[in-house]
Amino acid sequence: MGELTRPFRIAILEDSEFYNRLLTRQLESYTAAIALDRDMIFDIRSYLHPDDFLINLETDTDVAFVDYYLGDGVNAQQLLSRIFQRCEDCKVVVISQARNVRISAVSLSHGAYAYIYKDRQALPRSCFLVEDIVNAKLSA
Amino acid sequence: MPSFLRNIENERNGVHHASVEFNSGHNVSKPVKSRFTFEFGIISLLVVVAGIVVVTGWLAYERFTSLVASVDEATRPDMQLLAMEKVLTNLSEAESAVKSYSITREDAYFTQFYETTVRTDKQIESLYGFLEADTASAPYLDSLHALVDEKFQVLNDLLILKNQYGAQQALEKFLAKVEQNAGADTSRLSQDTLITNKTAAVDEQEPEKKKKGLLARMVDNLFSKKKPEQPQPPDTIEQAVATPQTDTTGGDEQIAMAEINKTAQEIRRKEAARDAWLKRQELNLWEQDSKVNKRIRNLFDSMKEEGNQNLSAQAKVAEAGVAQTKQLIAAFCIVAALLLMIAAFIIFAYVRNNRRYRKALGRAKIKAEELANAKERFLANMSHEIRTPMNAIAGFSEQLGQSKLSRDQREQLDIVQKSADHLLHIVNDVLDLTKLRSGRLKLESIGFKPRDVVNEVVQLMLPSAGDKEVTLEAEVSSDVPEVVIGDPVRLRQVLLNLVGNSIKFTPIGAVQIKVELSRTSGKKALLQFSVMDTGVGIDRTNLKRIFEDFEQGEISTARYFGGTGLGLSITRMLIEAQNGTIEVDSEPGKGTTVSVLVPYKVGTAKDLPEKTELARETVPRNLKVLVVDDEPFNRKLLTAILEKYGMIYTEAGNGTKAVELATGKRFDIILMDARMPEIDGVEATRQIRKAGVEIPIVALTAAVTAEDKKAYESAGMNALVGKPFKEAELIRAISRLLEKKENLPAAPHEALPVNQSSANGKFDVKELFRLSDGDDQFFREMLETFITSARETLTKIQEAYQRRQWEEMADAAHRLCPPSRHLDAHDLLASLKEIERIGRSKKGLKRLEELVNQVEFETQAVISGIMELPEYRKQEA
Repeated sequence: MGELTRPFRIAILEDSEFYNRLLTRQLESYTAAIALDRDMIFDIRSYLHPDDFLINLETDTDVAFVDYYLGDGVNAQQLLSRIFQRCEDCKVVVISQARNVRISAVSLSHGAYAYIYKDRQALPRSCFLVEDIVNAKLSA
Repeated sequence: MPSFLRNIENERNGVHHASVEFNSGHNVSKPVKSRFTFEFGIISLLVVVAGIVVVTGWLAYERFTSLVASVDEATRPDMQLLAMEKVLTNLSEAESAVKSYSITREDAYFTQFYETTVRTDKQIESLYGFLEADTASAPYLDSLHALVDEKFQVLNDLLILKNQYGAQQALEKFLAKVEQNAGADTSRLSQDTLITNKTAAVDEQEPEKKKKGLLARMVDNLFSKKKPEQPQPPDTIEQAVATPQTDTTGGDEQIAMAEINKTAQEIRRKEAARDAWLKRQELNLWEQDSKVNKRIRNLFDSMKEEGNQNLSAQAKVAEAGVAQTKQLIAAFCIVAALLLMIAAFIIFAYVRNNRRYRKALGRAKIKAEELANAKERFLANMSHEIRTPMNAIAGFSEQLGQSKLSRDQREQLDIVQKSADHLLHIVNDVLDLTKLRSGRLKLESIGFKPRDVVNEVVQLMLPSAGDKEVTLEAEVSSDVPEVVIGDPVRLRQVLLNLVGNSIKFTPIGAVQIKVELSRTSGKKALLQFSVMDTGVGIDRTNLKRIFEDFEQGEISTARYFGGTGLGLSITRMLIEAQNGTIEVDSEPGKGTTVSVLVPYKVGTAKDLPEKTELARETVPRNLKVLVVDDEPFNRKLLTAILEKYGMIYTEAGNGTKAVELATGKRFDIILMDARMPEIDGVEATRQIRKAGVEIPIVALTAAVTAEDKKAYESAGMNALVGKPFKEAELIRAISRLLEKKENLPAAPHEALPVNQSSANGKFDVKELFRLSDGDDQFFREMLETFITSARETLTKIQEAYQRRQWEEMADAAHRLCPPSRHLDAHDLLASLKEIERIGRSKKGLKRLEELVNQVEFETQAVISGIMELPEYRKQEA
């Protein structure tokens, strides 16, 4: 299996502070264990506002968790192209409360890597998704 | 079927009661089929054949023995003839001796003759010895004996004759000498001298007795003074010399000499005549001898001829015997062969039929086994198919029961739960019956307290009794052992069934459970469990039938009281499986007493299993659980339970996905359904174990047969929780497994006590506490964040509502939903979601005012509740 010589970057865009902190906390806890196992460094950055997110988005960001409804009429779908412009290889995971097949399908068709419904299991699913992506990158 | 019916006098009021005692299982009478016909026939046939063979063999043996004897006799040299040959030889020798003697006058030949006669005599005696075995030859032997005697007589006569002749010759010589010596003084010749030269007249042989030896007879004749009455030879010399003689001298000498010469001349003349006579006699004797020889030869030839004829006859007889024997043997062989063929045909037919029957039996056996297996599979499948949805019914009923419900909802849910329990009970009954029937029920042998079991039964049945005006009591005698070794589960099942029946059939009154020590011997105790009720009782005619499958006494019983009728049947079989007995005393209208006697080994406290009850709170939090089940609602039930315990779960809908996830990610435990399409749980477990993943795997399944359990164990599963399961059972199984695991996820902080998770019941911070992973600071910050967010959101909603900015209002409501969800603020969440829906769709706007007010109320309630939490108050402090 290969190695990552640089930090594995995760970016979170969630306008709900509560959920933002919760998701960040969850990912930090989970990736800490992976970091120990795989001898890696994880860099997790959280944003409440899309503009902050886009400005600070690193070009080598590996995973981005983006809430669908971001307020002010902005949604994740609209951000996808801009994210990819900045970071081609970024795996964008759309998380949303809406159990809307159309939204999930459209998101995925626009290049989203995954769509997670924001229920009680969204947090652990997010963690597992990160682990999947880490494994895929290391085995590439 | 009861083995016998026994009447017991009831002490109550002297009314005759019927009781039925069961001591054993089923009495099956097998039809006795005579099996002796074929075997008897075959054996008889074979005996006959063997007899024929033996008789044939014996006959053949006898015939061939006689044939061999005949051949032996035929080939054996005829001793008679040999003896006769010897006799003839001897006769020849004798004849030769006589001839030789007559020529040579040597005594040796004379001796030879007599020796020959002795030998011949002996041979004739031996011939007579042979006669004992062959009486037909007796006349021949007699004739031979006579002829031999005659011959020897002739030869003897010849000898005598020759002797006489010899004497004559001696006399001639004497006379010659006398003449020569004419001048000699012959006076001295005396009578004595002459007499000494006398020859004896040979007597004719008298006919002798056969038994007297020939030699003896001949010697007698030779030296006998008895003269035979035969023609006398001429005057003897005695007579010739009997003339007185004068003794003179001188001239008288010449006269004497002349007289002597005259006498000599006379003698010479007489002797010449005698000589001629002797010769004639000799000739006669030789002729006679020749005749005797001829006759002997003829006799010999006759005897030989007869011997040959006998031999020929014997040969013919032997031939005939052989031919007859051959025919007999052939006949017997044909008969034996026929019989053997018949026997072989019968045996072949029997073997062929036997093989056919065996094949048919084998096929029937295979079919029966297949049917039995199919039946078992059907039951297992049916059990699985029933238990699987029942798992969802029972499980979600349990989960619903833990949530807030109105009174009506709780009553309805209670009915659902009871119905599910009842249905499960029926399924278990059917499975138990099958296991009992097939002898596959395995009884436990563990230590338990009978008092505890009885108390459990009472506790379980009290509600049922309480629903009716029935009192339920239990009494355990003080001499009942504290601990016994047996199967407490089955005892409980029996008592529950009996008590359940008593309560069911007692509209009003009392049910009592009594436990007594019936008998004890050494380490064994016979316990009597009696269940007495004052119910409707059972009619005597129905008493026999109630323990049969699907029987309930009266037909109307099922309609009125319900039930499948399996309970007592199963109860009876369970008791019998434990080597116990069951008795029923009943009187219609008065009540029923059921007495169960079960033998147990007396145990001690050491025999009791360790209690492993674990509280909910000891389950480690943040466990990563892989949930594998192809049924979505089963997964939903499991995840609902796991969420409550703060576990992080991942779902997989099939075995393939399960293997992929388990080998790719880290989990603490896997909950695996056993039966899934494509790769089932057992195969998935094998593959996971093969990949080197050692995490505990719990089989969560409705398939709980003995074979299934073996399969789970051998595949590598660590525990089994049968569907439908209670939440506590699942958590207990997980806890037990993880207690055994070495590297458990750390749970440094105790879980939040239930009474501290929600001050006013409007929310629950356990989830948040779990997600905080023991970080109190984070926990408090999150609470604070929620309060801030909630207040902001409420303001935004209200403002947006005022400004009729529905999207904005929806966005605000949307934003607060996830936090509300994580705080289990269900009422608030529901209101927020409704506002978001209306705001987005712009439909139902009229309800918005109410909803906005509701959101305000709920938000304030949650905030105030959070602020009352001790954890939050610590922060403030």
